[in-house]
Amino acid sequence: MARRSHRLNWRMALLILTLGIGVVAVVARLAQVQIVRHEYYAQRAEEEHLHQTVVREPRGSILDRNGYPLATTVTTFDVYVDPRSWREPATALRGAAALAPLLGRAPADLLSAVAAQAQGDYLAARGVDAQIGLDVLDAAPAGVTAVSASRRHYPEGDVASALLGFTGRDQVGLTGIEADFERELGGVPATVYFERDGLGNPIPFGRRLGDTPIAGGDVRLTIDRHLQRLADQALDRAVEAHKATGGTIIMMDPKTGEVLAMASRPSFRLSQLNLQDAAQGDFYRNRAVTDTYAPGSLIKTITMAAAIDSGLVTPDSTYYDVGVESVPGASIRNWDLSSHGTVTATEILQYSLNTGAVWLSSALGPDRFYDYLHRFGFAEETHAGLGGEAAGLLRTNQDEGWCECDLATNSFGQSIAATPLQVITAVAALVNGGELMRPYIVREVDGPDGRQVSEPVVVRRVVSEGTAQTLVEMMNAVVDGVPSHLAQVPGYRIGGKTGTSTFTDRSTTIASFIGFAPVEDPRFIMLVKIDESQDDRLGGLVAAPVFAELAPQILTYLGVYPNDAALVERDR
Amino acid sequence: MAVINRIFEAPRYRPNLSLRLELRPILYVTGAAVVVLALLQVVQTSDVATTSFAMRRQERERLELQTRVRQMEAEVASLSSLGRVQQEAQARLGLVPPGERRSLRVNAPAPAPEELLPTRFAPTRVAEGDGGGSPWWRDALKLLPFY
Repeated sequence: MARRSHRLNWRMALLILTLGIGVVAVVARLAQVQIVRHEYYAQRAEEEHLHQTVVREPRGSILDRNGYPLATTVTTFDVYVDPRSWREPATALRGAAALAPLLGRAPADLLSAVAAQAQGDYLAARGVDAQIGLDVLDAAPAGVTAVSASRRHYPEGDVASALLGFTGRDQVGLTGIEADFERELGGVPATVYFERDGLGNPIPFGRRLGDTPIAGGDVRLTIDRHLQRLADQALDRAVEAHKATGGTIIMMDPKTGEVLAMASRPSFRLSQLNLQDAAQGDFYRNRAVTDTYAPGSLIKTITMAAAIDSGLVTPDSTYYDVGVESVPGASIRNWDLSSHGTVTATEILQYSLNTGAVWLSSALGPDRFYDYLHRFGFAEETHAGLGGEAAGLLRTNQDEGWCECDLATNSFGQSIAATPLQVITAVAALVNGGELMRPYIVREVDGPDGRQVSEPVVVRRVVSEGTAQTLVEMMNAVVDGVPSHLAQVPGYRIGGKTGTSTFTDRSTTIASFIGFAPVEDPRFIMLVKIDESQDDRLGGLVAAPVFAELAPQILTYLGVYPNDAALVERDR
Repeated sequence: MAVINRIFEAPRYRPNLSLRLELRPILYVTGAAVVVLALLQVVQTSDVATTSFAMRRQERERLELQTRVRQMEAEVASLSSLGRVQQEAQARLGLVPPGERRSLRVNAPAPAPEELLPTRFAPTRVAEGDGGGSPWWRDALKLLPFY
């Protein structure tokens, strides 16, 4: 019997080599898939199997200082139709017949729209009222889903539109308080993964991974809805009456820095918001803090305060006004081109003499004058907590290109840029005994990071208490000491100052008035600014009457009775 | 005489025929087990479906309640809005804005403001007696493991 040979022949060796290489390749590939790139493939598998969605809790409310909601959230529903469920004509007819009346659409329209949907679910209606959504859920037509959503609701209508701002469709704040306090109002969204079947529907009792979203809290403003409404309405009337291009009204508590109302125009209306309209984009900002202007003669109060605080003048100090002051590079004249002869410091404010302001600033000198302007907060943000705040512009003797004519024009509020909020904050320091308060507009935040309460903050002392009291009396003389001043309010002592700033390239002006009341114990200070009035040009004619119209209403609301009010005894 | 000194053989192991497994009972038991398992599966599946349905129903109820709460909050806010108050005052009560203002001081305390706001919006107030913290027995319970 022949012995069988066990020697490898070349064919066998080739086969074994081939199989060996194959095994090694398979093992290597397995090692690559399962070990080297484990994370990647595990993630791919999870993505294939799990669906990801961002979950948000309903957005918090924006409240006024007394707790009344200015913006709150209501539940709405988005209604979807799955076209695959409506392939059967009978089912589609039944579904359309049940759904169309609820959405106010014709069944035929709905059928054709669903049939035309090539991919995914058809959005039959977005943001329908809660009751309609619940009715859809009750009716439960085949293939129809109502998904809970939310929408901002503004109980006070268009009040404080620019201040509040608005949210996008995803309920994320885009402008105003809504954007500035996005985290506090919107909370913390969470990404949730859940298992889904082949059709993409969630599997009951399937895995559900992810965090729990943190609900947004409420933001309580210092704004008073009643005062805000007064400001909005008065500003609208004034802008319309004077055919002005815009304006601003800010009310503030001078003792705390709380902003009680803030309105600016041009602006948008929350009830007519149209994000598709690019032309509206210019109206979204809160001009009271983002836009600067030349404050005009309102700055004379600061110039006067600096001069009195420096001991250079008293209210009774005299100045001889010849109607013009010459400085290198410019001749400064009074606004009405008049000359008044010998006038007191108080009369410089009463007559709003540019020449008098130039005289005071030259007495102060540039170092001291600009130091006072900086102390009053010009050329720095107020840090009121609002986004987009401008710092303003002020060219001092330390800056390149400065000339003495700048000192002269700055003394009466020209060649200087400040926001309306900066101006009212600066003058409020005089009304508040010389202490500059940090303005603030959010009183309390109850958000994901807990409850935070804002307290009044004294930024710094800008002038002595005596100087401040002197300026209060002088500003009272400006209003009540001038016969027929249009800012006077019967029964109350009013303090204030008019301002009219001019442009170099056009004849229109910015007319303004800043006033406070009552002089004995100021409860509010208000800045009224009307841009480019088409009839009258002066602050005393355009802005002061707005103050006089609002002041008695504000004082009545704040419980400040007039000095001439008769006392009625209880037992009468 | 018999010889008794012969060697006894060790008893040989013989299988007990009575222990022999019978196929029929095994089939019965197996069949019963399969039926029980199948029923268990059916019951479980049914239970899952029932629980899932109950969950959906309760989620729906929660959604409906949350929706209604928010609706009512918004309604209260709208009803107490200044625009609506003015409209009611002028249209229903026939009030008009004041012309000439006359102020009278009355030396009597003003009535307390009415509580109009929903609780969620009302300013936070600490009720009397709330400042004492949790009772002692609750603190004691917290010492227990897994409490």
